[in-house]
Amino acid sequence: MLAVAQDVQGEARVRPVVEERGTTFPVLLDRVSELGRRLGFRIVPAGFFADAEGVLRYRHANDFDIGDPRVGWNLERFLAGEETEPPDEDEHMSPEALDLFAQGVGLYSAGRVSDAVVVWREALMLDPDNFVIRSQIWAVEHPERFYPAVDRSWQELQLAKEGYDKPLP
Amino acid sequence: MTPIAGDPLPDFALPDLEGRMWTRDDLLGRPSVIFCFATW
Repeated sequence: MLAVAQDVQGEARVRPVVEERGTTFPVLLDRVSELGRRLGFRIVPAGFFADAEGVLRYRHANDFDIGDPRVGWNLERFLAGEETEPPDEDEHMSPEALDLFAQGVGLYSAGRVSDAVVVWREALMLDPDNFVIRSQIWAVEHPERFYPAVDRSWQELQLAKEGYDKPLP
Repeated sequence: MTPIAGDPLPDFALPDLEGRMWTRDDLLGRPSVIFCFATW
Protein backbone atom coordinates (compact mmCIF):
# COMPACT_ATOMS: atom_id res chain seq x y z
CA MET A 1 0.00 0.00 0.00
CA LEU A 2 1.27 3.38 -1.01
CA ALA A 3 -0.58 6.63 -0.44
CA VAL A 4 0.04 9.69 -2.59
CA ALA A 5 -1.09 13.08 -1.30
CA GLN A 6 -2.13 15.66 -3.88
CA ASP A 7 -1.82 18.67 -1.59
CA VAL A 8 0.04 21.69 -2.93
CA GLN A 9 0.90 22.66 0.65
CA GLY A 10 2.82 19.39 0.94
CA GLU A 11 4.18 18.05 4.18
CA ALA A 12 2.76 20.87 6.33
CA ARG A 13 -0.77 19.72 5.57
CA VAL A 14 -0.17 16.02 5.07
CA ARG A 15 2.02 15.01 8.00
CA PRO A 16 -0.49 15.95 10.73
CA VAL A 17 -3.20 13.86 9.04
CA VAL A 18 -0.85 10.92 8.56
CA GLU A 19 0.26 11.06 12.19
CA GLU A 20 -3.28 11.48 13.51
CA ARG A 21 -4.42 8.40 11.60
CA GLY A 22 -1.39 6.35 12.55
CA THR A 23 -0.67 5.51 8.92
CA THR A 24 1.92 2.75 8.64
CA PHE A 25 2.45 2.68 4.87
CA PRO A 26 4.60 5.12 2.88
CA VAL A 27 2.99 8.45 2.00
CA LEU A 28 4.33 10.32 -1.02
CA LEU A 29 3.88 14.01 -1.80
CA ASP A 30 2.61 14.89 -5.27
CA ARG A 31 2.24 18.66 -5.19
CA VAL A 32 1.81 19.15 -8.95
CA SER A 33 -0.46 16.12 -9.44
CA GLU A 34 2.16 14.25 -11.47
CA LEU A 35 0.28 11.01 -10.89
CA GLY A 36 -2.99 12.69 -11.79
CA ARG A 37 -1.47 13.49 -15.16
CA ARG A 38 0.13 10.08 -15.68
CA LEU A 39 -2.69 7.93 -14.35
CA GLY A 40 -5.52 10.16 -15.50
CA PHE A 41 -7.52 11.27 -12.51
CA ARG A 42 -9.08 14.62 -11.66
CA ILE A 43 -10.86 13.69 -8.46
CA VAL A 44 -9.55 12.17 -5.26
CA PRO A 45 -9.63 9.65 -3.75
CA ALA A 46 -8.48 7.57 -6.72
CA GLY A 47 -7.09 4.04 -6.51
CA PHE A 48 -4.88 1.84 -8.67
CA PHE A 49 -3.58 -1.70 -8.33
CA ALA A 50 -0.30 -2.73 -9.97
CA ASP A 51 1.11 -6.24 -10.01
CA ALA A 52 4.65 -7.30 -9.10
CA GLU A 53 5.76 -6.76 -12.70
CA GLY A 54 4.58 -3.16 -12.65
CA VAL A 55 1.49 -3.74 -14.78
CA LEU A 56 -1.63 -1.78 -13.96
CA ARG A 57 -4.41 -4.24 -13.08
CA TYR A 58 -7.12 -1.98 -11.77
CA ARG A 59 -7.90 1.67 -12.31
CA HIS A 60 -10.55 3.56 -10.37
CA ALA A 61 -10.33 7.30 -10.91
CA ASN A 62 -13.74 8.36 -9.61
CA ASP A 63 -15.19 7.81 -6.14
CA PHE A 64 -12.64 5.22 -5.11
CA ASP A 65 -13.55 3.92 -1.66
CA ILE A 66 -11.62 1.05 -0.16
CA GLY A 67 -14.71 0.26 1.94
CA ASP A 68 -16.86 -0.18 -1.17
CA PRO A 69 -17.71 -3.90 -1.52
CA ARG A 70 -17.06 -3.71 -5.25
CA VAL A 71 -13.56 -2.36 -4.63
CA GLY A 72 -13.00 -5.04 -1.99
CA TRP A 73 -14.11 -7.73 -4.43
CA ASN A 74 -11.66 -6.41 -7.03
CA LEU A 75 -8.88 -6.18 -4.47
CA GLU A 76 -9.35 -9.82 -3.50
CA ARG A 77 -9.26 -10.83 -7.16
CA PHE A 78 -6.17 -8.70 -7.77
CA LEU A 79 -4.31 -10.22 -4.83
CA ALA A 80 -5.31 -13.71 -6.04
CA GLY A 81 -3.82 -12.88 -9.45
CA GLU A 82 -7.22 -12.90 -11.15
CA GLU A 83 -8.70 -10.43 -13.61
CA THR A 84 -10.36 -7.38 -12.07
CA GLU A 85 -13.42 -5.55 -13.33
CA PRO A 86 -12.53 -1.84 -13.19
CA PRO A 87 -15.32 0.73 -13.49
CA ASP A 88 -15.94 2.06 -16.97
CA GLU A 89 -14.34 5.48 -16.84
CA ASP A 90 -13.48 7.90 -19.57
CA GLU A 91 -11.26 10.71 -18.32
CA HIS A 92 -10.37 13.51 -20.70
CA MET A 93 -7.29 15.01 -19.15
CA SER A 94 -6.09 18.46 -20.16
CA PRO A 95 -2.28 18.56 -20.23
CA GLU A 96 -2.45 22.33 -20.72
CA ALA A 97 -4.46 22.71 -17.52
CA LEU A 98 -1.97 20.55 -15.62
CA ASP A 99 0.93 22.58 -17.02
CA LEU A 100 -0.69 25.75 -15.72
CA PHE A 101 -1.42 24.05 -12.41
CA ALA A 102 2.27 23.16 -12.07
CA GLN A 103 3.23 26.75 -12.92
CA GLY A 104 0.91 27.89 -10.16
CA VAL A 105 2.53 25.49 -7.70
CA GLY A 106 5.88 27.11 -8.53
CA LEU A 107 4.42 30.55 -7.79
CA TYR A 108 2.83 29.28 -4.59
CA SER A 109 6.15 27.81 -3.48
CA ALA A 110 7.79 31.19 -4.10
CA GLY A 111 5.28 32.82 -1.77
CA ARG A 112 3.26 34.39 -4.60
CA VAL A 113 -0.02 32.93 -3.43
CA SER A 114 -2.44 35.32 -5.17
CA ASP A 115 -0.51 34.97 -8.46
CA ALA A 116 -0.71 31.20 -8.05
CA VAL A 117 -4.47 31.33 -7.60
CA VAL A 118 -4.84 33.44 -10.77
CA VAL A 119 -2.92 30.82 -12.76
CA TRP A 120 -4.86 27.95 -11.15
CA ARG A 121 -8.12 29.69 -12.12
CA GLU A 122 -6.86 29.82 -15.71
CA ALA A 123 -6.11 26.09 -15.47
CA LEU A 124 -9.59 25.45 -14.15
CA MET A 125 -11.14 27.30 -17.09
CA LEU A 126 -9.38 24.81 -19.36
CA ASP A 127 -10.56 21.83 -17.31
CA PRO A 128 -13.56 22.68 -15.10
CA ASP A 129 -14.01 19.01 -14.13
CA ASN A 130 -10.59 18.85 -12.51
CA PHE A 131 -11.34 18.79 -8.79
CA VAL A 132 -7.69 18.36 -7.85
CA ILE A 133 -7.23 21.90 -9.19
CA ARG A 134 -10.59 23.29 -8.02
CA SER A 135 -10.37 21.90 -4.50
CA GLN A 136 -6.79 23.07 -4.16
CA ILE A 137 -7.80 26.62 -5.01
CA TRP A 138 -10.57 26.42 -2.44
CA ALA A 139 -8.27 25.00 0.23
CA VAL A 140 -5.78 27.84 -0.27
CA GLU A 141 -8.40 30.60 -0.44
CA HIS A 142 -10.70 29.25 2.27
CA PRO A 143 -8.64 27.03 4.59
CA GLU A 144 -11.28 27.40 7.30
CA ARG A 145 -13.65 25.34 5.11
CA PHE A 146 -11.18 22.43 4.98
CA TYR A 147 -9.21 22.40 8.22
CA PRO A 148 -9.81 20.83 10.64
CA ALA A 149 -12.91 19.47 8.84
CA VAL A 150 -14.11 19.57 5.24
CA ASP A 151 -17.35 21.51 4.80
CA ARG A 152 -19.14 19.87 1.87
CA SER A 153 -22.20 22.13 2.16
CA TRP A 154 -19.96 25.13 1.58
CA GLN A 155 -18.39 23.37 -1.42
CA GLU A 156 -21.81 22.77 -2.95
CA LEU A 157 -22.70 26.45 -2.58
CA GLN A 158 -19.30 27.47 -3.92
CA LEU A 159 -19.73 25.23 -6.96
CA ALA A 160 -23.03 26.93 -7.76
CA LYS A 161 -21.40 30.35 -7.31
CA GLU A 162 -18.70 29.35 -9.76
CA GLY A 163 -21.33 28.37 -12.32
CA TYR A 164 -20.52 24.67 -12.28
CA ASP A 165 -23.73 22.80 -13.03
CA LYS A 166 -22.77 19.22 -12.12
CA PRO A 167 -22.98 17.71 -8.64
CA LEU A 168 -20.06 17.87 -6.25
CA PRO A 169 -18.11 14.61 -6.70
CA MET B 1 -3.13 8.35 -23.36
CA THR B 2 -4.54 7.46 -19.99
CA PRO B 3 -3.33 3.97 -19.03
CA ILE B 4 -5.88 1.23 -18.55
CA ALA B 5 -5.67 -2.19 -16.92
CA GLY B 6 -2.97 -4.20 -18.71
CA ASP B 7 -0.78 -1.17 -19.42
CA PRO B 8 2.53 -0.60 -17.63
CA LEU B 9 2.29 1.57 -14.55
CA PRO B 10 3.71 4.94 -15.67
CA ASP B 11 7.00 5.97 -14.17
CA PHE B 12 7.06 8.71 -11.57
CA ALA B 13 9.48 10.31 -9.13
CA LEU B 14 7.97 11.57 -5.90
CA PRO B 15 9.33 12.13 -2.38
CA ASP B 16 7.87 10.59 0.74
CA LEU B 17 7.43 12.49 3.98
CA GLU B 18 11.01 11.73 4.96
CA GLY B 19 12.39 13.07 1.67
CA ARG B 20 13.20 9.72 0.08
CA MET B 21 12.45 9.63 -3.65
CA TRP B 22 10.20 6.85 -4.93
CA THR B 23 9.87 5.66 -8.50
CA ARG B 24 7.94 2.94 -10.29
CA ASP B 25 10.88 0.60 -9.75
CA ASP B 26 10.33 0.70 -5.99
CA LEU B 27 6.97 -0.98 -6.52
CA LEU B 28 8.27 -3.91 -8.52
CA GLY B 29 8.46 -7.35 -6.95
CA ARG B 30 5.18 -7.23 -5.04
CA PRO B 31 1.59 -6.20 -5.72
CA SER B 32 0.84 -2.57 -4.92
CA VAL B 33 -2.25 -0.58 -4.07
CA ILE B 34 -1.78 3.09 -4.87
CA PHE B 35 -4.18 5.33 -3.01
CA CYS B 36 -4.27 8.95 -4.18
CA PHE B 37 -5.85 11.38 -1.74
CA ALA B 38 -5.76 14.93 -0.43
CA THR B 39 -6.37 16.47 2.94
CA TRP B 40 -8.88 18.91 1.44
